[in-house]
Formats: sequence, C-alpha cells, structure tokens
Amino acid sequence: MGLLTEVRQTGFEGLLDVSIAYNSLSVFFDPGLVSRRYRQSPQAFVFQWLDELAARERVEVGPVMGKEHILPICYDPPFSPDLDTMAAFHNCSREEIIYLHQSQPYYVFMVGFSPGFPYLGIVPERLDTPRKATPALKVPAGSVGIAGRQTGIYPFESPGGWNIIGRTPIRMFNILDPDLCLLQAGDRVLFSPIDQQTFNYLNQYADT
Amino acid sequence: MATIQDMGRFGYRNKGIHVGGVMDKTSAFLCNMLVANEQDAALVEITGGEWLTEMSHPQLIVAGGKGFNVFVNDNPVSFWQPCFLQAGDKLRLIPLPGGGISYLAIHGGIRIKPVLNSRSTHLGASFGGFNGRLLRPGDLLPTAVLRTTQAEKIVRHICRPGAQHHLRLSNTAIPDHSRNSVRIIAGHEYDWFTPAARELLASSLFELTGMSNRMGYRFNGPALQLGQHEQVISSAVSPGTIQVSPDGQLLVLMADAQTTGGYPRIGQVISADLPLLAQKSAGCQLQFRLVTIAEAETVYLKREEQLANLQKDYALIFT
Repeated sequence: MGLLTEVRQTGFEGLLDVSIAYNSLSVFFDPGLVSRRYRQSPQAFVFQWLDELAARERVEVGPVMGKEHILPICYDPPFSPDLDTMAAFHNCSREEIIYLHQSQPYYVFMVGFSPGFPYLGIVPERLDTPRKATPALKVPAGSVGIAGRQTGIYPFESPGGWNIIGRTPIRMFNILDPDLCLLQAGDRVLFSPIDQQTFNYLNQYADT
Repeated sequence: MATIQDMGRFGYRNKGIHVGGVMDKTSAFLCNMLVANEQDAALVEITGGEWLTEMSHPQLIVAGGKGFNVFVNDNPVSFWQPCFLQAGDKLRLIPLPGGGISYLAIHGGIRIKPVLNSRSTHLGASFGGFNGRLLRPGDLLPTAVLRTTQAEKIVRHICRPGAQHHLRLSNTAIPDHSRNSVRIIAGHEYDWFTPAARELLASSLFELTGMSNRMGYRFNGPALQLGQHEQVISSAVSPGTIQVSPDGQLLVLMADAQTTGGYPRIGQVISADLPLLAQKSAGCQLQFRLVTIAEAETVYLKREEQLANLQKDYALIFT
C-alpha cells in the first residue's frame, strides 16, 4: 500500500490508474501518450520506470491499519441461502458456521470486483469453502459470502459465485460520500449478529 | 438498449469502479471527429432496439458504428455522414439482422453532469450517464447550443445551396468489422495451461454466445485444461482480459468488466482489436492469434497515428 502511494505520487505522463490486490500491483497507462512524450516503447518505458522505483530505498512497513468497523449481519433465512449446503459440506451445524464467522475481526485486503466490494480475511480454516460450481445469477445487495478463506460483501445485486451465509443492512458504496466506499484496504471489520427485525430497522438498501 | 458513454472513468479501480466507456473506441472517435467534438465528448451508444429522437434545436449530428440503418424524417442517410438537423427533425435508427453497436454523436457532446470525471453510465452502481440508467422514451438529452468555428464551417459546407453536399467518411477510413481473427497477447496464467490447451487456443474456432453484454463476451469452444491446479489469487483484470471458467470456456471481459478477477487469465485481447471484437455478435466464429507485446504496441501506435492524421485531414477540408 505504501508502494501504491509512491507510484501515484511519482507518476509519469500517460499514467491512468494504479491498483493493488492481495499480492500484486497493476499499472494502467496510455501507450500513445507515453510513446509521444518519452519517445520509446511504452512497455519498455513503464518496466524501466517500475524497476527504478523498486530500486529506491524504502523503510519496510507492516500492514497498514485503518479504521475499525462493527457491521451488523443477519444470518437468518432467506438471507443465508447457502448456509445449509455449507453446513453439510463441513459436516457441522448452521450455528457453528455462524459462530465461527462472527468470532474474529477481519482485515480488508482490497476493494475490487464491483464498487465497494471488500475482500476480507482470513476466514477460519474450518470455514474454507470453494466457490459454487455454478454462480448464482442474482445475489442481492448486502449479501455476505465466503469463497476459500475470504469473506466479502456484495454492494449491489449482481451475479456471484460466493457462498452466501448472511446479509448486512449497511451500504458499502455511496456515490455522495467523498470516500465512496465504507471500507478501505487496511480497515478491520467485526460482524455483529442481528435478528430480522433489527435488520429491517437498519436496512439502508430499502430505498435503492 | 442505449446508454450515454465517453472514453471512460479512470483512477477509481481501487474503489472497485470499472473504467467503462464506449465498447468500440474507434467508431466513437470517428463520430466525435465528424461533428468537430473533443475526443472525450459523451455520445449515445446504441446496442439494440430501435431509436427515435426529435430535435429540439438545430444540431450537427452523425451516426456511425455497425448494424443499423439511419433515417432522417424517413429519408435514408449513411453511417459516417454528418447531418445538420433542424428543430422538429426526426432521427431514426433501425437495427439490422446480425447486430452491432452504433454511436450517435452530437456537436458539443451530451452535456450531462460528469460523475467522478466521466459521463459514462455505470449501470451496476446506478451513477453517471443519464441518472445512472439506460435511456428510455421521454428522456430529454442536454446538448450544447453554441457551435465552435470548426462546426460552423462543417454546417456551412453541408448546407451550401445548389448541389448535394454530402460529406462522408471515405471508404478507406471506415472501420472494417469483417475480419474474424482477433489478436491476443499471452495472459498472466498462460503457462498454467497444458500444451494441448495452448495449441487448441491458437488453432480452434470459438463461437460467440448470446450470453454476452457490456461486461463480457462468452464463447463456446473446446474446453481448455489447466495443467497445474493452483488457485488464482484475485488480481486486476481489464477490458480484453480472457478468463477461462472452471468448465474450460473463454470469457473475454469487455468495457464494464469487474476490476478484479479470480479465474486464470490465458490471454489479453490487444487494445487495437477490442473495437473489432466489440462489434461481433452471437453465432460469430472467431480465431485468436497470439502476437508479441511489441507487435501489439506497434499496431496500437500505428492505428492511433492513422486516426490523428485523419482528424488533421478532416480539419483541412474546411479551411
């Protein structure tokens, strides 16, 4: 994440965007602009630029620590369509999965896929579940899912392959908010179980 | 289906916001050029269905792309032919069998308020463009009223009294959408696939399915097998990325693709061929041809230079 800031601050003409994921950093650029400005192969230029940046001395920092959030989550049906399948897969009860899922805080590794979608981890090993073989065509907004040892929240109704075990009434993305996304890479999230009545009371998706 | 698009929204990938923008950048560039617009002016992208607009002001306007017949007050006009329409004139686009995407550019662009530095419609999160949604009957599109001197010259050229003064893109400059081979470079996980799968990718025909939209084009073809069964760690994907789904089929991500993905990336369609791919429709048989990054760069820069020269030549006609 430190590198991300450094790439953005240093920059070059034609740089369009930089993004980070778990273990990668991607640089997007306009080949035409780079070629006209630096008079060489755009790819060669960007690789050289990255090499020089990487060679700079820098202080190693640990994981960035952002804000802490407590997110209400309702695990009741119909918000948890894949909970029974997951329980059968792990040979345990629904309650055990729920207990394990909300028993620890998660780190926001990145925001990606769709606007505001947080990739959270690391999920307890006992809940490690592969993506669904056939993705669901419509996952409702606010759905909380598990894929491998990650858990994530769908900010908008979309197709999706994660195992849905609950739903949060809190909006992940708001175009009117200067930060746009509720969660940022580096934040920590603790899920706090609520019942359906509380969910309906808190539901920020109701008018969308 | 019609939306407002421009050249895309950059700088928000780490918020999960895709670049979006027009599917066929070449056609959009040419349409904007023909009505003396800036390259990033917002235009209407029409991907299907019939389109009918009535002008509320005199406007310099052009339609281009693929797959539609254009009429002004029931008289046929050509794609790539700028027209000066009067208040009350009706512009109609009728889709042709075989499909395609067409663009409607109006001098001055569609003047809706930009959101996060772009006028492109983000359908998934309902922002940008026209209230973040598809255009529907009754919508009133805000346009510019004043014309630049260049646009004024074009209008005068079209409206000269006497002979017909049709102005139209020359045949050599009109994009050719007939080629059925799309150039790609090797993707991040190209080497993860078996030699047999890589051979199949290069030698087979892949059929574009109806499960295709602004997010991605899905293909039917021989199943491509992974040699090693590592899990991909989610990382960046972009328009042109060719993902292989668990059943071994290809999904090419398009303009509204998600920003990160967890499926292995066997290839990346070169930017210069994305407009060609965008204009293909269901049932089309395509071949993917592997090229080097150097070749992809050369093709891209050459195409950009051709478009820039065309723009200069076009400006010269009116001086």
